Amino acid sequence: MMISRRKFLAFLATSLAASRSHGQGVASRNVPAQPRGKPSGIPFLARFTDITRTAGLRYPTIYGPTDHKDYIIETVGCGCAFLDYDNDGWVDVVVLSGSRVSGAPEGTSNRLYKNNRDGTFTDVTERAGLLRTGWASAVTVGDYNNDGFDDLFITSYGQNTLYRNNGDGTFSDVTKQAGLLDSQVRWGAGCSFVDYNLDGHLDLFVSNYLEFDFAHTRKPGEDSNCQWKSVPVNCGPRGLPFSRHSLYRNNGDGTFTEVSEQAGIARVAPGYGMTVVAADFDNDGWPDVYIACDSTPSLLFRNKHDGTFEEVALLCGAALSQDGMEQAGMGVGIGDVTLNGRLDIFKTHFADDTNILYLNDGQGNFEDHTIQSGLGVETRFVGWGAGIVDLDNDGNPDLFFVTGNVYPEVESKVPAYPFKTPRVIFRNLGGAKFEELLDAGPGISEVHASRGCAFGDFDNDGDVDVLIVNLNEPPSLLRNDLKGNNHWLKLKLVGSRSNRTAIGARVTCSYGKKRQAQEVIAQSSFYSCNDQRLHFGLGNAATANLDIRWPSGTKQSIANVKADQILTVREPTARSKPE
Amino acid sequence: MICRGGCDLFAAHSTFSLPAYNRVQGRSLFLISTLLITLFAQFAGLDQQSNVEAQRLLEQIELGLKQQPSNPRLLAARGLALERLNRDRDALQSFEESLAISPKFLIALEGAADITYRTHDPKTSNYLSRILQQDPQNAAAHGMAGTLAFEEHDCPAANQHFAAAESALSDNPLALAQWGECLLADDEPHLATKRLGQSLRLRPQDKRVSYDLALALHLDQHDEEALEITKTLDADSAVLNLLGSIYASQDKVADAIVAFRKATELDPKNEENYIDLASLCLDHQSFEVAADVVNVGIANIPDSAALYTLRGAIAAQTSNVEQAAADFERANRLKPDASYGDVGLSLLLGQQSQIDEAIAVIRSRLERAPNDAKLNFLLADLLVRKSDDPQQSGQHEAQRLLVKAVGLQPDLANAHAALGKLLLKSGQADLAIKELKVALEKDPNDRVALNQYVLALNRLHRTAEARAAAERLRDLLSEDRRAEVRKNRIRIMRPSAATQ
Repeated sequence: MMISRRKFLAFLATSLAASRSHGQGVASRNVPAQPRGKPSGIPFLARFTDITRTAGLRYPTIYGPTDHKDYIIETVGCGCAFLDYDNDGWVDVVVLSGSRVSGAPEGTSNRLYKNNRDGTFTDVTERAGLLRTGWASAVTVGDYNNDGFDDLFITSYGQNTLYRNNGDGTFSDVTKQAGLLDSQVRWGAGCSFVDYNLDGHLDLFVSNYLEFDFAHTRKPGEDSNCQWKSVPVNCGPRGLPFSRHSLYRNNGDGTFTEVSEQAGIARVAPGYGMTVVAADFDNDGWPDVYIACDSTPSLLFRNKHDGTFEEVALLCGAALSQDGMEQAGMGVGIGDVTLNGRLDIFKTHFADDTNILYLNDGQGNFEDHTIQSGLGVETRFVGWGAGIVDLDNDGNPDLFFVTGNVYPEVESKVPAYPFKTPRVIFRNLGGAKFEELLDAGPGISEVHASRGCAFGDFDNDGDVDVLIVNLNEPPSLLRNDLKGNNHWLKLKLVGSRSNRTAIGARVTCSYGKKRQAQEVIAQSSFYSCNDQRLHFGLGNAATANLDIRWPSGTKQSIANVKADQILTVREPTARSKPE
Repeated sequence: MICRGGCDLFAAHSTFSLPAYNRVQGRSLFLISTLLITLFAQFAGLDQQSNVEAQRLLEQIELGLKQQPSNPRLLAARGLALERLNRDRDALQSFEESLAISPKFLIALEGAADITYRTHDPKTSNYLSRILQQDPQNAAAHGMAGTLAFEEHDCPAANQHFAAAESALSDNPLALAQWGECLLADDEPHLATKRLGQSLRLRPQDKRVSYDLALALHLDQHDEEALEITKTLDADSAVLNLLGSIYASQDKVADAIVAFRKATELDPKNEENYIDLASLCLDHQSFEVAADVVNVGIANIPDSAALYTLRGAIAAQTSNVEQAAADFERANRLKPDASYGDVGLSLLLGQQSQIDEAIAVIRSRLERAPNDAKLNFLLADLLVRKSDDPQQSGQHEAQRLLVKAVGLQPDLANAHAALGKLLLKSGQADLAIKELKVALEKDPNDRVALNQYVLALNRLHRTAEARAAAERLRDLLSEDRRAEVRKNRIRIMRPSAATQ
């Protein structure tokens, strides 16, 4: 009969060539890896050493059992943060944790570790009032009450929590008095502080992953949404109901009001939202919001300057792969990979798919540049936390991401998909070309089931270190042992008219013949928050010129800044004339 | 093939009457003598039984011919009289004599066409095209030409002729059925439904047309109506196959499996039944069951290249690369002229990141079949996958191959989409939009094309159009997702496992 001939050829084409992969709970395009080119041979000066044990980061992140996962909630994992909660100039560490259906082991909690300024940390969770066991997802850091101390907002399955920093080393759960209590159980996912209306007070954007309850979720293998590589696995996200995303406006008095309806967020088909990144993608001075979505089109909410947003990701090319396929968006790195003053997006995905690099045309339109950039050589792993960060201070921001499968049951049947997998670095060769480094130290090649990661300079030695969440293991703290003489500059911005954390401030740093933009953001990677000091590798440039655009609109230029220092820049109190 | 049982419709001409008898009155094309006017008028008034009258008219004409032996009108009139007397050979000779003197004499052309058409004489096409040159609206001539094109499997031409002959088809069930089948063959199930329905109303007992109509309705996504008709048909292999397809698209997976299984039992040598059943299993991620089905098929049809190819594809999906490669190679040996095996092998190599080897396989196949549009497209696709950089030479070759592919097969939507994508990447948004539009006309659900179309419009700041296209894309994604989730809800188990 005529149907079958057509179907047969179509099947051949779609089953083997790049295409959607049907019959599994998660989107993957079954993309084969691109052939690897010849190595450039250029030395990479950064080496990463795992110093977790000596640093004292000893508590594991509990997330479901180790050998199987019956529910999707046991697989997703959580994030971490570098923050300076005590304003001593040394970034401290927050590591989130989940739980187990059968009950969490003793000591399971989100953790705050204070930086001892000597390469070690002290667990201060209990003293700080942050002991909490639950299914935590994401963390964002910002000074929502502009009192000079960074606060924490943590999303979870069940109820999100706003912790106010009391300025004395302790935090208070102010969720209820801030008006952030949910009337129902939700699965809070990505979250970011963002001053969307530029009133100087940090608002909150929260993505919700999906509607989940243990009682009504199918068991592994019950249908094809619960299969992967023909192995029964936990079900979802496909087949599970969406949940809406939320925007909470800061009223300036310590309380928030949900404005999702008024702002146009609730009207949008939500998708399975994960990491939230608030940044000014179209260079209009107003923060937009990008949400990496799992197995559904990612979302880009463009700020319309009147308290509302328009979702434009499909229109602007930031929703799908270039062949119109959904991808399993997990983590997001934001940065200026082409050194043209625009914020590009690097998003991580599932195994058998490439991660994606979207280049920004400066007006918030994006082009999928993945294959041209050389990123298509790596499709083996499930990618999570990611960053666009200059790891070797050569002036070209590199790509870093962590990996880990979600189905521990699979590797015994299909060895090509191990549960624990290594970290990945793509070094920036310039000209939007990247090269995967297959040897960048044991900290990179060690295998874990990693999820969130945060980038920051915990030892203030002028390079970017990495903090990584590993499921059912302690985190990894990778110290960057950078060699060579490349220069660097680190900026801590302090807002005055703008929000005090300066979230949304844009710095364009010119060094040598290069010009790189960075923005202070409150969440990226996977559910994580980086050291909010902006780090610029300067290559051999000994000085740099800075152009700062504060969220208030104030513009500030600083010329001939000496390299190799951590510079604190305070927002001028009087508005300068636009240049 | 577009019809069951060896296409019986090809065996019979549909009947048309060219209007020779009716076209004289009121025409001033010819200088027809009063006698001829009378004669032709009389022919027009004759019924089938009036042989005596026809004989009388023939005698009068013969008398006239004695006086004017080279009068083309009299020769044509004699042809008409002879035809009426069932003396086709003499009649045709008389028409041909008339045409030898006056090659454009329409009555003679129509008479000759009528006889040659009835007698399956290959000269028919020539007469019909000469008629249509002079009288492009001649519905009967278009009807005949449509049937001839149908018989020659030239459905695009048949569809054109039948459309021009519509007014002459309303009481011609055979021609309507042919038209319907050709519309089906040209992927126009909606239009086919109308014509096949007309045909069936004229001949309600025609099972062949019933089957075609059910098929058209199924392809036009009217599965309930299709099912109703299909259930009235004798359950042979083809009907069961159709039934299985209908059930499958209604997500009645168990019923579909039963139907396909019965089809394989009734006709174990028909590879398509195994392919359909295995495809259904694959749609639901039941690779093992699909492999079981194909293995049974191979046992029954050991020389089926298609089944080996399908088994190779299943093996590739389950990461059994060696088995996949062996099956593709076996398929190649079994049917060297078909491209299944090579295509499968190249896709497998591509999947293993052996792009250069995959390219080599397709290049070698293309040397044997340089004008195979799909192979040109496949090679272009591999070259693009090798490097997405528009500045590289592979991209220029890919573009040339895609231009060739769409030239060879203008309805190859994938190739138009790929070409549009390349053009957009190289900054030629205007040209890209043109190609992408064609791709979307051919396949409105082509995501590559629609996504690239949105981006191209946006790049040219055609914002309103871009937004509208983005909404279409959003709807398409939602619909695809819903369909996939629906499909994934059902898992086909091996019989032994299902009972455990």
